[in-house]
Amino acid sequence: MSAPLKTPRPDHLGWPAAVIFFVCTVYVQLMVWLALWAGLPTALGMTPTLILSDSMKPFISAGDVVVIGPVGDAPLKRGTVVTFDDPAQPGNLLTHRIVERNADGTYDTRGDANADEDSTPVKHSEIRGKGRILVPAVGIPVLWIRTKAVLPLAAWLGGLALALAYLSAQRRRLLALTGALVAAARGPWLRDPGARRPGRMRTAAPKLASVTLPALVVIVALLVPRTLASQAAFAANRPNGTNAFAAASSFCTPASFTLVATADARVEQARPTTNYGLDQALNVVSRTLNVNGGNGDHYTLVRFDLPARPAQCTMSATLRLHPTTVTAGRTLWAGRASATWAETGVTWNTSPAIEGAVASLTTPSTLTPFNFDVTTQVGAHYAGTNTGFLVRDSVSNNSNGNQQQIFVSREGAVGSRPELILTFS
Amino acid sequence: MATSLRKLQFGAAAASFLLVSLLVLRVSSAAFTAQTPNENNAWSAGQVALSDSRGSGNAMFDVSGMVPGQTVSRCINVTYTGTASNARVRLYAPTVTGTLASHLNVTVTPGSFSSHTYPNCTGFTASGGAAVNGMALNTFGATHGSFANGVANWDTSGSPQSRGYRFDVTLSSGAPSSAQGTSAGATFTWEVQTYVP
Repeated sequence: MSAPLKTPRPDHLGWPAAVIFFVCTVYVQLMVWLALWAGLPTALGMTPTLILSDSMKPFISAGDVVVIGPVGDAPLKRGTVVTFDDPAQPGNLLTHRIVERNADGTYDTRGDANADEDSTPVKHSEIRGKGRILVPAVGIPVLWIRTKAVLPLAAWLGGLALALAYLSAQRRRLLALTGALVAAARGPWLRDPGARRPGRMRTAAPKLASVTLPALVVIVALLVPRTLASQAAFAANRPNGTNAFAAASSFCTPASFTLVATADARVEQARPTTNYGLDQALNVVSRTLNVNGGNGDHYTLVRFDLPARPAQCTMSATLRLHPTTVTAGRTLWAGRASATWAETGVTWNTSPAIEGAVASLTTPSTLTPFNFDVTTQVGAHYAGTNTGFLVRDSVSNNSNGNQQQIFVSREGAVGSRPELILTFS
Repeated sequence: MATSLRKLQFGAAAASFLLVSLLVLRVSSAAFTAQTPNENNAWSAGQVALSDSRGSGNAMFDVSGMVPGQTVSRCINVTYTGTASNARVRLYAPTVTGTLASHLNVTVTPGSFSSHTYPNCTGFTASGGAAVNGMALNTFGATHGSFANGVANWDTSGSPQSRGYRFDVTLSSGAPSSAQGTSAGATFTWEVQTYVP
């Protein structure tokens, strides 16, 4: 039989203390359950992921833990929240929502709070997992540690310490009281070991209180090394689109030149060692050479200084000679001289010949300028050496009398001198 | 009134377990239910944003009749207006098209403006060297086509904060006659992202 108690039973509290006890227990238990929700799924192969920023608000905030589960190979649906290796910032993890699945199998993602989609699509293989469980706020103390937020951290730790201290104090008080009661209740039976002992006074409170703290420690120890930290990066972009560049249809800067000869001379077969470079007449004659000398062919040599050739242009070139005497119906040839020559030194014997293609012309009966299309020949000048032109009758030593053309040389009247007209377009 | 400690303990544990579990299940369901994100759901905290001096216009360049050796220049001012303190701005060319792109050489120089009338370069002063120096436009797009390999990295140090950029685009003097009449198009994008410091 037990002594009557005048004080409340040891496992009972007055209501103010009961409220405080209730609040402290809930405060500690809340964190235990939150931590359990974040940590226990590890046993099922899931991974807790701490969210570091607010770009997935309003659903997911910094400090939340998203527990991600594995993704298979099947394509993921729009709206799925996934954690992936950030292709835009190598080394970081990103937790965003899938907005679209692209034809090439990649995904377009976006933070719910971002105005723009992430600019780099994500490959399926870069995805670490998809969101399964969202445990709000449980990671906030870790954020405080990362951002060195001393005040909130101290306040929270202080509150936790106070609550645990209060719970622990109540436990100690109960244990002390319970121990005295058991001793008192046990007393009469101590000398009779065979007698039935009363049931041990149940003390559920101390058991639970002593379980809470170790549980918290175990969960934190489980969680911390396994938790990933995921940046939910804010992003915004300003595209400057459709910059257009078009090349001109022709890269040629058109130009025209009318050049006057810088060297010219005739050479005479019957006077093979005589230079006529300073004479005012240039001859093209085809005539039989006399056995005793005299008559014979005459050729004309003419040269122009060429300007720098404009790039990317099509060129046309015309050699123009102004006649003072014409013989109609002759076929004349103008061609590139095969070697260089000096105006005041060249003679029949030292004269070059025509090299390559010839420009032909049929002589008219009137004294109109003779125009030879020497485009090919000038091209050869530009490609090689500017040797000038040689103009001759197509027939050598014609036997039908004196077939002659006479032109004004560069020593003659202005306006009648030999010209080269170049057009670049 | 005396209350059983045991009942209190059990009540507290049950209450907090129910509270937490309901909360977790509810927010998980809300967050992970497949849904179409709202395009206009911009949040105020730690937001990033960029603006630039174009006003209502779009592209900086719309050039025709380019001949080899010709250079066209444009200048633009980009401003970071976000609230996040760890923001990084980069420039990249996500889209480059056209055969002329291999004959266009691009130089991008960051700097600042004493005064600025878009798109003129009067009042622009370069700060440091070119971020891109005479790189072919098609190479620019191939090697700097996303934020991860963007150029002209700028870690902001306040808001609002501005930076000027000068673009010089030259049609190479060696462009062949086959390039006549061809064209190219390009998008130049500035993007800002928060980063983990």
